[in-house]
Amino acid sequence: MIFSPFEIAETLRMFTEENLDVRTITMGINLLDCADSDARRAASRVYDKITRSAARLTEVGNQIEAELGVPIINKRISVTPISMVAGACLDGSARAAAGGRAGDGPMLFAETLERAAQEVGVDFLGGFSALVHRGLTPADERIIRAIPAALASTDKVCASLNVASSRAGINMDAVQLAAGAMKEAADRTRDRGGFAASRLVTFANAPEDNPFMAGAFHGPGNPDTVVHVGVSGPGVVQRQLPAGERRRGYGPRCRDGRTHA
Amino acid sequence: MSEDEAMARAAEMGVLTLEKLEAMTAICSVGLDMIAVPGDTSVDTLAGIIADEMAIGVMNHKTTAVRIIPVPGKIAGEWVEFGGLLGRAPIMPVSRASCTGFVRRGGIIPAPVTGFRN
Repeated sequence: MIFSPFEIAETLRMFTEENLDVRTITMGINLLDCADSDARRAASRVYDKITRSAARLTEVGNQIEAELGVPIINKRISVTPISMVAGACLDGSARAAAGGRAGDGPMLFAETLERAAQEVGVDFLGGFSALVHRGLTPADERIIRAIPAALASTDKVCASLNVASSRAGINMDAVQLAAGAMKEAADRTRDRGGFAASRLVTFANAPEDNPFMAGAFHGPGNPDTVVHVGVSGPGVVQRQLPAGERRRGYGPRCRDGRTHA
Repeated sequence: MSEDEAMARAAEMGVLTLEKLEAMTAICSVGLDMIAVPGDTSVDTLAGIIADEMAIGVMNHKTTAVRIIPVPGKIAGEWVEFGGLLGRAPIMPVSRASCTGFVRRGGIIPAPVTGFRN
C-alpha cells in the first residue's frame, strides 16, 4: 500500500493537533482449554496461557508508539468469562460444596489473573465474569459471590455480569446478586471512595467481543487470541466543529453524511 | 460520568439527574457508566436501577450496562475523586422510594415477544 504525501501529512496532523490516539489495544485470550477438575492445575494453565500469549503485548505496543509516534494509552487483556473456565472445578459437587482444598475457590482464579496481568505489564485484565441471563450454574454463583473480595484484593482484575438479554429477558435473581456485589465491592474499598465498584459492569445483551473495560471479556464465539484496537476520536470531531461554526446548525455538515465546509 | 468533565458539571448543577441519564440511554449511549451515588443507597435500590437499565437494553435490542459506585460515607452533592482517567464525579441523588417488593420477587422477567424471532 502506498500513501500519498497528503495522507501522511493529514495523519500526522491528527496525532499532533487533534488529539487522535490509540485509546487501547486489548488482547482477547481464550481460556477454555485451561479448564481442569483440579483447580490448581487449571489456575496454573490460565497463568501460563496468558503470560505466553501476551508475553510481547506491551513490548510491541511500546515499539509501535516509538516507531510511528502514535500514543497508545492503555494495554489490556480480556479473557474467557472465568466462570466457564472454572466450572470444571467450581461445580456443585460434594467436594466443591465442602470447599475443596483450602485456597481452591474463586479467589485462586482472581489472584492468578492479577499475577498474570502484573507479569505481562498490562493496565487491566477483564473477564472475572459470568453470563447468567437465563440462570446460574453453581460456578457462576460462586464467582459472583467472590467478586467483591476479588476486586478489593486486586488492582487490575475487572469483573462483568450479563444478567439480561432480548431473547432471555431479565434474570432478577442475578440482578439482586449484581447489586449486592456492587455494594460490597464499594464497602470493601471505602478508604478509596468505593473504587473497586468501578471495576464491575452489569450488562444486558453483552457483546461477546467487548474490549472495553471494565466490561471486557473474550466470548465463546471468538478465535483463540485476537487483538482489538480502540481509537479515540473526540478531538478530531471537535476540530471539525470549531467554536465559530457551532451556531450554523447541523444541516450543512450532515446532509449526506459528509463534512461540508 | 466521572470520565466526562462537562457531564460532571451538568450533574453538579442539577441539570443532569440519574432519571434523565437513564431516559437518555433509551435513545443513545450504552448505559449508566461511572455514576457515583450516596453510600447509604440500599442493595434493593441498586438492583432497581440495574433492572430498569436492563429493561431498556432488552426492549431496544441493544447493549446497556450499569457501572455505579455507591461511595461509602458520601451524600448527594459531595464529590468523589478517583484519580487518573476516571477523574472525579459528583454524588448524584437517588430516589428514596423503596422498590424492595418488586426486585425481591426474583425469577425471570420474560423477554418481549420479539424474543421468539429466530
